[in-house]
Amino acid sequence: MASAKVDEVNVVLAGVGGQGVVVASDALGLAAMKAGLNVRIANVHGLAQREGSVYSHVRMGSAVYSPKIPPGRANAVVGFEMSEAARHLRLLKPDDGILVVNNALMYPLAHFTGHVRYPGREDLLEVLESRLEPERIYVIDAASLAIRAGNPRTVNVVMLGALSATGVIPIGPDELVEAVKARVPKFALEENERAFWMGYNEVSRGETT
Amino acid sequence: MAAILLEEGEKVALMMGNEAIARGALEAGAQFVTAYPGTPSSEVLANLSRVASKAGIYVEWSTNEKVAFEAAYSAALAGLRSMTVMKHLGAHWILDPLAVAAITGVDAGLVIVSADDPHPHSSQSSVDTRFHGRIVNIPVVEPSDPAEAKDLIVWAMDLSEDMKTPVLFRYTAAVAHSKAPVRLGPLRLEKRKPNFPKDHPRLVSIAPHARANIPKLFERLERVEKVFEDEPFVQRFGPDSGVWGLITTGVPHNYAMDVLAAEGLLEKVPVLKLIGQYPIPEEPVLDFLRSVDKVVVLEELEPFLEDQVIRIAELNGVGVEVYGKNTGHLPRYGEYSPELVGRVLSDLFDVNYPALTLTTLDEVSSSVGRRIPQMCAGCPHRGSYLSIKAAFARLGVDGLVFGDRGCYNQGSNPPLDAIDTCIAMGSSIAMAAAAKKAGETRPVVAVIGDSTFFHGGLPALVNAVVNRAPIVVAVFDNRWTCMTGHQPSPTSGVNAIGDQAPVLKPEDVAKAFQIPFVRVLSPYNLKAAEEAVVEAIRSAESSGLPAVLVFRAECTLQVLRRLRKKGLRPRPMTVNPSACVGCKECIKTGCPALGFDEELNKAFIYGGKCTGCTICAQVCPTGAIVREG
Ligand code: SF4
Ligand code: SF4
Repeated sequence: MASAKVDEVNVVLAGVGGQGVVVASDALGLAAMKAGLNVRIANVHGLAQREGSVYSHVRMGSAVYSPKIPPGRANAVVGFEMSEAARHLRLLKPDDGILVVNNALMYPLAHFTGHVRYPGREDLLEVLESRLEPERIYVIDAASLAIRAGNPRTVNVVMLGALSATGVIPIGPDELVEAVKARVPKFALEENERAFWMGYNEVSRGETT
Repeated sequence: MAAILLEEGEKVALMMGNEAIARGALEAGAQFVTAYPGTPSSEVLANLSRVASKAGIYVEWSTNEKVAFEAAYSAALAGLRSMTVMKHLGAHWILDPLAVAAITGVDAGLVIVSADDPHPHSSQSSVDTRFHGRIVNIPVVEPSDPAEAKDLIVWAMDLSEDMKTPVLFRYTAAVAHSKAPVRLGPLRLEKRKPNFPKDHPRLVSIAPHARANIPKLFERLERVEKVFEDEPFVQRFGPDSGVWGLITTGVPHNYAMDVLAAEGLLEKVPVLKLIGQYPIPEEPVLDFLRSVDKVVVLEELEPFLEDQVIRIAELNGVGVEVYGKNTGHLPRYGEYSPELVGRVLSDLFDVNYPALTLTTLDEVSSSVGRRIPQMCAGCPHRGSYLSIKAAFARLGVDGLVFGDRGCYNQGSNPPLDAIDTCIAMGSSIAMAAAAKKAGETRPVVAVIGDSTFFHGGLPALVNAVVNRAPIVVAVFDNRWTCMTGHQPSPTSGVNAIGDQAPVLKPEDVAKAFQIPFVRVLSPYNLKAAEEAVVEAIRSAESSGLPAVLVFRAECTLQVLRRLRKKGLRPRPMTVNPSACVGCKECIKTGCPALGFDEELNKAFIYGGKCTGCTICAQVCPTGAIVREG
């Protein structure tokens, strides 16, 4: 499936500390490298353990030099959390970029104390859906799928599976699964593999909301 | 991932910039490597320390950057290839000995790795440390991506040893934390025996000796400039001449290449990339300036290259127009981005870089508020701050809290809002003492973590004692250097390679400094801690000397990590909804494991995040928070 000539494919992975954004981006990067593509990854994870936003830019292809995706040039934004997906929407290609989003909204503590106001879950979903045509948005209940896969910490891999099924990335699903397995802990191989296919099937069967 | 550092043979690996620098050290024959942790540089030594024993090299987390530099310098004088790693803030600490090392030169290679944070993402200032090299007159080099960073460590080490001068390797956060394919080169694991020279006219650097040696420093620089005239230290891309040309260095080089590629300009715009930046190689720069009509200089932070380029053009009567920071086209602060470089080049070249068209998607992005960082669920610092605040409240005073650098500076964020300053490593104690000496009448507390206490707090504490400053010094001792990824601290009992080390105790230091009031307490017992703070404030006032409180509890993340390894979990707390009155007192502790349901008007706890530390339960006025199950 890896095409011989890929100029530029850009993917943003975004979530909050502890959701496994960096592991997912490593897996994507490794798979792309295996497929013979040039790769650049930018990570911002300064305060990952301290409830901050975490994101990763994964760039693949021969025309890629720097690790950061310019605004309006992302083929996909993969949001592990809804507000983080919204935060990075500006990077999406305005005409045909896609959004794959986990339907969880994680409020920061400052929301409960009234120092920052976050929108409600339904309101935010409505905003996202109003800005993108239905065929460009995939909403996934990744938390439930991860639990069904046997480990609630596999949300990141569910999301990679879902991304894979959209067909936006120049890497086959089997290659991506192999890269995931090379990057996650040895004792968690099976649940991660299950998690990947659960995310994959959810999108390919068109079961997203 | 550390295994890759010792792999042999033809291989391309996906590496983070800092990991690539660690690999570079092993390919450069570095035998003695020191560091003090600091974002964005910490992963260099963290990676090396995992393979140091196997590789047979010496690594250490030093007490501070000045010690780290002096250790590496000493080893380089003794003939061992050496490297020292720090963030830009640490590089400020080493200028004094670095200036002398520049004069004495070195016997084996010595590379100083300084990580700048132009944004800044996680620093209190964003000074361009290339100037440190320039002030003391040592070579300055900079890589543009992880692969080049690895190779450049080798080139810089060879250059340092050939020219007998320390070399400053400056890089920025975007290189440190980005990943790219890196082609591994042959490992060079040196086994040199040290032989420290007895060379008094050089190494006893008293004034007459310094006067005799300073001219040699400039001779060395001249030789370095010759080396910088050729590849790999200078690289040219694109056509031989053009209307517009670019002079680049560091990650902005790749932002520019992205823009040129997207605009189909790769074959039209000549680019000169300068990896060796000081001394600037005049000849190739002059050649380049003569081949274009106008040039844009792209570099992060100060116009370090740009000013030199303008000087070269002026002195040689080249009529080229130089665009950059001096013309106001590019900023002297902040991290560059493809967006910024794209906008500037689009304006100047009069093309329309497609990424710059704003869409309605921008609105959505800007509507999302920032996630304010909080100390982790169960963090002991939360209890320490709450008890200091409670003590002030009980005494009816609006006390001053001088903060310091570490995780605990998150205590400045709402809702805790617990510190009044956060300046530089160790500043808390010196500034707190000065406030009292200046006549401040409110109680004054200095808050400082254990690693920072040993890094920069000790001289200030001595100063506070001998000058009789009636302050409270609260040492938050959680056993590790946590902010930067849990490196060992003098309080950890282990060193960089996992060998056992003595556990140093701030209270023993305080007693040795003859401080009359020294108390060790648990941050998790709010009432007792509040009482101790009140007593400490009173003691400082009555004795006229500092009082020291050591809040001791190991970092929660380290405790959880150990539990998880044993397959155990903490027992979380839970809110009994029938007892909760919705007062939000618990939320005000700032623990991210807490939430609040506006509809029910009840607090709740995320069971998966809560460590069961009980702090929220201690502040709940109705006893609604209880142990789960
Ligand atoms: S007991 Fe309370 S303060 Fe402690 S971790 Fe749990 S929710 Fe946070
Ligand atoms: S402090 Fe107690 S009563 Fe007040 S909101 Fe929290 S749990 Fe409810």
